Amino acid sequence: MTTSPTSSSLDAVARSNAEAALWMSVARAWHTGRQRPALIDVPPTEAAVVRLFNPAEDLARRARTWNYDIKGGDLSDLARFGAALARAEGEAWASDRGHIATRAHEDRRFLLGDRILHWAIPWLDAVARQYPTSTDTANEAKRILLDLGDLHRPAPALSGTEGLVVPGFDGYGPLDDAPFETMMLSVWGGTVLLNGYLADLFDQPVEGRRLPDGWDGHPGTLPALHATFSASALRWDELALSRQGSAQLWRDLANRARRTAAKLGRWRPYRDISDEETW
Amino acid sequence: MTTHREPDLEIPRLLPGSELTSFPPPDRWDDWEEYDAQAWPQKVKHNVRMVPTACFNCESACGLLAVIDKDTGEIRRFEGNPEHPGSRGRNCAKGPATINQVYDPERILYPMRRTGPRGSGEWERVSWDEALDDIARRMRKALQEDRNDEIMYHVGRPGEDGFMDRTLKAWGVDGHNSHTNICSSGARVGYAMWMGHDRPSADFANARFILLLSAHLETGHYFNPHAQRIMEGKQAGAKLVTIDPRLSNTASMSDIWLSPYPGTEAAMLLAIARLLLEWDAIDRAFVERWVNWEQTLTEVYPDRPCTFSEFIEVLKETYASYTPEWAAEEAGIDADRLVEVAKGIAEAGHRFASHTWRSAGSGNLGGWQVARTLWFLHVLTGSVGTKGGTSPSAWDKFKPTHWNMPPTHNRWNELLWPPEYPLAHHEMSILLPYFLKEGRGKLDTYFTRVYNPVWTNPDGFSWIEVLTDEDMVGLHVALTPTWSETAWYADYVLPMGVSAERHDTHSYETHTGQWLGFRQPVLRVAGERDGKVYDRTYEANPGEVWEETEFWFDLSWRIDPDGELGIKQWFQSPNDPSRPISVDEYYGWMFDNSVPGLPDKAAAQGITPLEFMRKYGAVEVEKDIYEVHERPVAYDDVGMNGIARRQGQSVGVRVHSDVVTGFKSPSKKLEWWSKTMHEWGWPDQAIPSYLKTHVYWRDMDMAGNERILLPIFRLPTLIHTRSGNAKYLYEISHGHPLWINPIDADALGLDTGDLVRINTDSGHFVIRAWRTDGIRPGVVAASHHLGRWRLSDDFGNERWSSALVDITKTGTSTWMMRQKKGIEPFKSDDPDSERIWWRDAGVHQNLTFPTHPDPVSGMHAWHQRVRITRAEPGDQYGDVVVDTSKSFEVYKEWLAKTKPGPGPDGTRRPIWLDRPVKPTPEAYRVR
Repeated sequence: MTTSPTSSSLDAVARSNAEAALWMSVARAWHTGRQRPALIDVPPTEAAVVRLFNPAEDLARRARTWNYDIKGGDLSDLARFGAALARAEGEAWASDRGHIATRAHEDRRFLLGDRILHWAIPWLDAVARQYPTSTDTANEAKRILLDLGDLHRPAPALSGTEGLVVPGFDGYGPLDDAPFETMMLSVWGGTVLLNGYLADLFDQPVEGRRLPDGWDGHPGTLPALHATFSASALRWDELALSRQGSAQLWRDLANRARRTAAKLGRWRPYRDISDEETW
Repeated sequence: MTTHREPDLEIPRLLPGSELTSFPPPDRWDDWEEYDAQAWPQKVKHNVRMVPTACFNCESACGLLAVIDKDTGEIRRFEGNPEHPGSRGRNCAKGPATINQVYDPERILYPMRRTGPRGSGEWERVSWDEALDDIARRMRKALQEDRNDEIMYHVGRPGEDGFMDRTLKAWGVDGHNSHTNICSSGARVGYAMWMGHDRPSADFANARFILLLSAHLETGHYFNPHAQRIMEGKQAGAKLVTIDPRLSNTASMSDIWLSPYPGTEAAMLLAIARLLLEWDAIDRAFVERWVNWEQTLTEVYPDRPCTFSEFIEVLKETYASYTPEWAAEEAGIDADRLVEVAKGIAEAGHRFASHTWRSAGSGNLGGWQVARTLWFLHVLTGSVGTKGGTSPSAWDKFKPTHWNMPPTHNRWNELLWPPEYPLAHHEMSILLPYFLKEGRGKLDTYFTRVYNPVWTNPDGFSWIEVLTDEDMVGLHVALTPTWSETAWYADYVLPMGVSAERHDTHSYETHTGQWLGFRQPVLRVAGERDGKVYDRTYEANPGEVWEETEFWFDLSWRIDPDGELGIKQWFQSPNDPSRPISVDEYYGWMFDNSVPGLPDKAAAQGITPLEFMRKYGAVEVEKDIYEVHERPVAYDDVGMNGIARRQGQSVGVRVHSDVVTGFKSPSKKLEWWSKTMHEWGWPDQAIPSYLKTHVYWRDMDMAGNERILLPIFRLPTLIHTRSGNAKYLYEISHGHPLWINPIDADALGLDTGDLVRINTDSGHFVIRAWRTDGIRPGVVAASHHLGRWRLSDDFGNERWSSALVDITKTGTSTWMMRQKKGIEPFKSDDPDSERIWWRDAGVHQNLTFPTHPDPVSGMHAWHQRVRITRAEPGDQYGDVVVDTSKSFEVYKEWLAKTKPGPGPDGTRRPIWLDRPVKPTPEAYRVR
């Protein structure tokens, strides 16, 4: 697949069905009941760092126009919606309803680019590293989603002078929209820190992706986190070069990871940093 | 990666909705900025306010949003209300056309009182006070003289669930009259004899097979909320089959269109039932659990073993002769197609949805059996109350409690509920002119509320005869938003608001869920939000257009100013007994106290329930309602007959070891054999059966010029007499041809455009032919939505839609109507009135139809046996000639078919059978 189906393409229906199958394979693989250890390690929530509007409600509103209810909003649920939109597009082309087909296409591109890729790729990346039993499944899902990203091209790399990103923002949104700890524990910090990782790091159970009290006083914590974010930045750089359809996301994520790493490098436990550099 | 399939991991099927993705959120409805479309290409912003209300053009009450300009205070347009659970933001053409009705230059803006003889067209403007005092004085006298039965309220468009029930009880008047027996009595009886509930609620969106017998769904009321869900079901793979002699809009979109001879539908349905039994494609567990088979075997087949398998044998024997080949020949269709439909129903099983309402049920003698035989298919397949099946209507309709409900009255008005029709579903309104002529009673005060019997009912000249006789009808008050043929014969014409100008509540079975809608006067609501204070709604509406709710409050108050009649107490404000209750108090109480979940939803937003309803226009009470009959009930004891009772009321039924809700029938089960029918004189029609129609094709001279006339199909853009004031709608729909198949046209020597005479048993009308394959041979059809007329050039009816006519009484009982001119442009405040380009107002055929009351259901059997001839010299398009003495004779002939009460227990009517404003059990006894 190198292009999106269009009404002028004789195999528009077949292409859409093929894409629906890809989406559905992600949905099935990450359905509740499978990959349980990884799923318990919940994906990062956006509500803590995104303000002004509720992304889940925004997606639900779009889904309602298709008479579809987004349920849990996890990867499987979103992928099911993606599959349904792909099939809807194919059927619409088949019945010569171009306005429906283009809506299905546009909504699918939005779903992928604005509601899935930015968190699912780093999350799957972390799951693959943290849970050996899920490694293959996570890598396969990552590959499929990135393939879909190359197909729909929701975030191609910007030259630096184009685009609509205003100062203080990147493709993920504002750079300083939440306290440092909140930012670091979300994908907005530049990588995903799973509960399992945090438990290993602090050598104690960690509930609900929260940092234990005095987290930055643990020996070795800050260097380890610094290394994690620095390494992540390099991986996102590499991804940005290989995945052109979503490259800008990974560029932004790499920059965010570097910013977090830099902050961690300068971090001193229990120090008031409010007067320092604005995030 | 795992790829094996699980049922819950299939690709969901999406149903693309309307383009409402960018619709303003409700929180911003009070102040929304948009560009002025008229100013394009300049981008001129203005602010609007969106106030929800509900459409009034058909019964389904779809949600509307009035878009009000905040600068001018005028309504700019109407859109769908996306918060309405029934219509979900979508409307048919009739909804947005409400703007025409509000700003119609022809509308009645002030109360009018007749000055010349009734029907002379001489009027004067009066104040509301004058009108109220005069009417109240007259009613007070009638009530003081115990002439309660001389007060009658005749409703055309309902939409105020329970409000008039309350008002009439407060007056102690058994005077509720309706349009039901020109509409749906037939279908209602068919359903009611099965289960007590009188209409179906199909879960179209989840169905796998949809069967429609209707000239109704695709064009009539419920059109919009049902049609959008039929489309969803179809998009999800459901098969759609339509049985209709005419190629309706729905038939044209169906997988299979079956076009039978009118009146043979029950034969087809019983053939399908036979096939289901033969294939054992029935839900035996459901039938065994829910059909009254034990009662049937015990009372009808006492010599046979009382076992379920024996009952199935009885069914097979009963319907053995209904082979598909026989039914196909009877109906004039292809047997293979009938078998294909039966297979589809068998395969769909619990996901079989169907609907019938008017059409066959309202066209034929015995038409009520169409609904009865159709429901039989649901009973056999167990698709009753299931997801994708069909439920009793009441499960999906919410009825709020009204404030301070008066006690049940103990009167029985035989003008409405005559002894000849003990099983009629609703009042025998079509017979009112004949009963008055026979001297069975008279009317002191007769209210027609958004009703136009002169035009809508059969034999309109008989209506004119009694309406112009002041000895029969003392005072006629027409409550109407627009002029009509009937309002012309009123003493008072009182302007009532359209959807955006009135308060009422309503709820209909649009889908498997319950909701309550709130209609409201949008200009009043908008004004109050800006701090204005109104005492009555007519202060905010155009002119002095009022609303019924306040009208009835004030009228009741004036009927009994001192409380002597015991009426005033029901209308006193709970906060200030010296004045009538206000609409805010009335509906505020209702929303506070009787709508489950509404107070919580309102509280979550920090507003009152009334404010919530004013903000959203509707509330969802419950959704996904299935299998209510299986819900457990609380009870005190269970009788030998299995009926569970609580505080003396039957509340459920024991089924095996469960005590559950059941249905509303006497046995609380689904009654294949109806003991009621048996005991009230119709043992031969106690089971689902096929009755010969009065327009049976084999009895006709089809080789000659006799044909069956279908006069009741609808146009999706019009609605009886209430859409003549909508210029948009008449610009779309203004042709009125006689549909005739080319085979018939050739046999009769007719071409498209030829003038033809259609001769009925009481007269004839002249119309133009239209050759089309959209109607089966042997049948001709003309819509009942056209043919409006007026007697004055510049008022008395809408010039957008009516022809100017002369009506001449040519003998003691003979009448003639002739069109002087069709529709023409006219000068008015609306420049569009000078741009009218259509000319055809249609032909009023109902005048020529004698009344055919079905002896069981009371339904007027609309189909006509007609003789078709070429127009004679001197005939003109639109001519109508009628002899009312002949129509009276036909009435007598049909009256002779009845089996009058009382019933076996000395009652006038089975008490379990619903009726409006139900009186006390004592009133049912013949005294």
